[in-house]
Amino acid sequence: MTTLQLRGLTKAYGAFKAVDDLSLTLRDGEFLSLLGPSGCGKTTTLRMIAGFITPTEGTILLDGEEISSPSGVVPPERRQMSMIFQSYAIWPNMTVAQNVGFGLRMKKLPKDEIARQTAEVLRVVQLDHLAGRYPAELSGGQQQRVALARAVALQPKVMLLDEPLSNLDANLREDMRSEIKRMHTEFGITTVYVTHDQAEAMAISDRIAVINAGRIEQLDTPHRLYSRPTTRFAAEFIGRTNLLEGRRQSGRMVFDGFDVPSSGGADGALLASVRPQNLRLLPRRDGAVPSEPGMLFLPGRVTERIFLGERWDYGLTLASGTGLRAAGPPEEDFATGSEVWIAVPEAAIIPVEDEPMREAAE
Amino acid sequence: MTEQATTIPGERTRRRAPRFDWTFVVFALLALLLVVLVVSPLSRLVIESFTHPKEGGFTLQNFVDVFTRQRYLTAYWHTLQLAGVTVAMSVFMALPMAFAVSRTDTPGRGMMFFAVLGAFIIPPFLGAIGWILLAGPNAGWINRLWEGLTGYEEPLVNIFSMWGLAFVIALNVFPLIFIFATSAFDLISSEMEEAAAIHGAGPLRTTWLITLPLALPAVLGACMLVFLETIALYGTPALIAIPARFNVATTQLTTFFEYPARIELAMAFSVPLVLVTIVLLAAQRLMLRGGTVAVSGKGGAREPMKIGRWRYVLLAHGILVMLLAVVLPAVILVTTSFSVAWAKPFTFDNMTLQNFHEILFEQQTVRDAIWNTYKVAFSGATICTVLGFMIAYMVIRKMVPMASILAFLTVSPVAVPGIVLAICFYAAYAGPPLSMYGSSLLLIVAFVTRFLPIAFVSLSSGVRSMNPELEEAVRIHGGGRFRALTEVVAPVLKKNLLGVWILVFVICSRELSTAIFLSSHNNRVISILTLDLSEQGEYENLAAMGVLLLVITTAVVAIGMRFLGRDFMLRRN
Repeated sequence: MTTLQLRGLTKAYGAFKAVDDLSLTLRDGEFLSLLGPSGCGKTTTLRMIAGFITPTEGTILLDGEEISSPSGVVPPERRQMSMIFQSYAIWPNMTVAQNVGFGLRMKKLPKDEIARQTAEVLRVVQLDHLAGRYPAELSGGQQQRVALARAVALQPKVMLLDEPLSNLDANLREDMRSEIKRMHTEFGITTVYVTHDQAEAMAISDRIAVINAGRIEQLDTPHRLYSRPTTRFAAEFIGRTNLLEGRRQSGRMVFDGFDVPSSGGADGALLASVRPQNLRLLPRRDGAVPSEPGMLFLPGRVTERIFLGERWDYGLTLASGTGLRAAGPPEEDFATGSEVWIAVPEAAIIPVEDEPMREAAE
Repeated sequence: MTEQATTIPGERTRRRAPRFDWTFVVFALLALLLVVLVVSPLSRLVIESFTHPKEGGFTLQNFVDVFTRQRYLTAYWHTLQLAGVTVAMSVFMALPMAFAVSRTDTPGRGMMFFAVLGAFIIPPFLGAIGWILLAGPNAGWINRLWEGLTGYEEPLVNIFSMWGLAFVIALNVFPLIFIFATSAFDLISSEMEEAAAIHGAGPLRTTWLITLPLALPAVLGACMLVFLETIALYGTPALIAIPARFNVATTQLTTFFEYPARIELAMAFSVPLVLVTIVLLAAQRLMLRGGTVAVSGKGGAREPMKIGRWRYVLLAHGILVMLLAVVLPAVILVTTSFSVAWAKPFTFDNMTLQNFHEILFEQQTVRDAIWNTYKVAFSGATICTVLGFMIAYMVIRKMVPMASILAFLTVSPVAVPGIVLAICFYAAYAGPPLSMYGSSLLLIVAFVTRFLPIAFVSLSSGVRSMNPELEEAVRIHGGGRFRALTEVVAPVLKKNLLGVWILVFVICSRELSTAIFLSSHNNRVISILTLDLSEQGEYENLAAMGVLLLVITTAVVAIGMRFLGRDFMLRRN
């Protein structure tokens, strides 16, 4: 059983706080991603977990034992972790087997035991036939699997991954991603994964911590993060979305020109999110207003459209002047300038809950 | 019809007739120049060594003569021993410093950097003079101090020995290993070491298992360069090995020029040196290609390793090397230059400015040599920079047919030790019909040939790093090639050009081995005069001249550092 706890972790460089009072707890075997734009502090956090950086404030606990605090840090080589680096950092002066067996050698296991375990791990990543090769002779994909094998061979308590897919082209990226996922399923190692690519994080993680300016914006499962973003940043960073400003008033969310029922919450200014995928377009001719329970029909006009192959990307303007983006299936074709009904399920309009409080605070 | 005939063909000529292809002319000119600079002298090596000296015609007799005479073989053997010992000593001096500077939190890293720079700036013959004054068996300061302290009359150290010679050379060439090792260490991404740390290796094991093996190819390559540098060196062996009465290959070469001169034997004797150079240079390139660069991906930020108490060990080592390579020789040269008699204690009675007065205002030979040195260095540096830039630009932009031939010819003198190059120039141009022996022009031409490869290689990488679109933009907006060159390329590369000029100027101002057979009393340079003054025992004047040379060199390098950044002299290329 492994638990990793970050408590109030802060790293300041002068006045600049790269990581700011960050707390989270990883359960045993959990796959957690730190997701955020570059410079948000996610790599600094990872390197603090690895023991390369000493925190300015806060502590890191592994199985309840303090391994990092401002007063001292257990050095990386004694933390029983492993890491996959952005560059993979495969030692070019060692063979595949020597790379993979390195950690075992450091543990001073007997030679035949090292050989046996190395062979076992290489078999799992399907590199057993390349054990004696040098890294320079391997393809990009094989090199990643060496890095992966080296990281799991130790059976570490925690495995850390620092944007391991960022240097790969699209095909290799997917292979490696599923390989990482497979390794995680196979060995159940508690894993922290750093990335700036939301699709990658969604595909691979049990939970995602969205990080901005050194702080956690939201920590949630991928599905909840997408369907229930709780901050403006999380809503915009995860997928594309339309943000609507309005008010909450006597049980309803009121926007410019329409309103929908609200599931509770205090009255006041409000920010809501609706995904382009949730909007559907219908032709609007003179005549009846369509109606359907739980659906909202808003009159609008197509001002712009881009064909993206899998879908149309429409720019729409409501009568109130509000702009929206919608995604439409390729076979439904609305020309620029057409008058349309925009059908929105009321339930798809999600209040981004923290917003009024934050606004007030600022 | 007539009207058409006059207008339309006119249009046509403008549009279609091929313009005069001036690139061919440029190619021809450059090729001709390289024939004069490179092909004609170097071909002498092959021609003369296979030619019978009296009857002419092909013969192998010269090689037979060289390889059957015990004295000549001993000279080769001494050279090999010397080079081996020098390499080992240089590694011992350079590697810990390089590691300390590049990878660790050792204090005084800036000081170590300047120690290396200092060792690099001190001309080999001045370092040798310094150590003769310090560690000569009888009058050397260290031995007299030893005698004064202990009463033993047996000298503590004797510089006039194989070990002494290797030591003095190593103090001068170790910067080469330092440069290669630091740039290899710098290229190793921190992630390589961090990966070892997170997989359970402590700092010592990480260094031993990861860092050093990764830098090994570059260090071995640098060892080969040091080996080559040592076998080609003439000045230091002339000052130390000749009095110590053992001969090495380069000192042996000069004996072929004693009356009656046996050029053909000198040439045949040189051939193995050239072959060894070619083989080792090729091996060095192979080693570097196998390389130390991370296999994939980009490196992360680099953080110095915290090495605890080892920092003080490395610091002590750095200080020791600095004392031996820079401080002690410099101090002894400076005090000697202000002394009436160098062997007497440096007291107030013994102090004088007379030495400087003599070399600057009285001794015509010294004044001439100083003037000649800087004339040659200035011309050599300027010609090398301009020519190197032109060739580099044409080769990299593939502006002329067979550009690779130009490149090959330009760099090929690298394979020829300076002293052998001097013999080649002697054979090609000293005698009739040109009879250039004793002229400054001959020295300039030989120096240009010798150092053009440095200028060419360095400026090639400069040109290569420039996006050709910068020049294409000039042309599409109406400027010609020449305008692109003068208004865009040269200004953009001005730092590279200045760096190359300074580097070539500094090494020209102290070059000895290329000058050795090309100097008469008419065109002596400082380096050659050093040998004469040392032979006459005039160490005070010699030291004054050396101090002057050091001051000027240091000033030039300081100017370079001011404009080009601290490490422009110590970059690897």
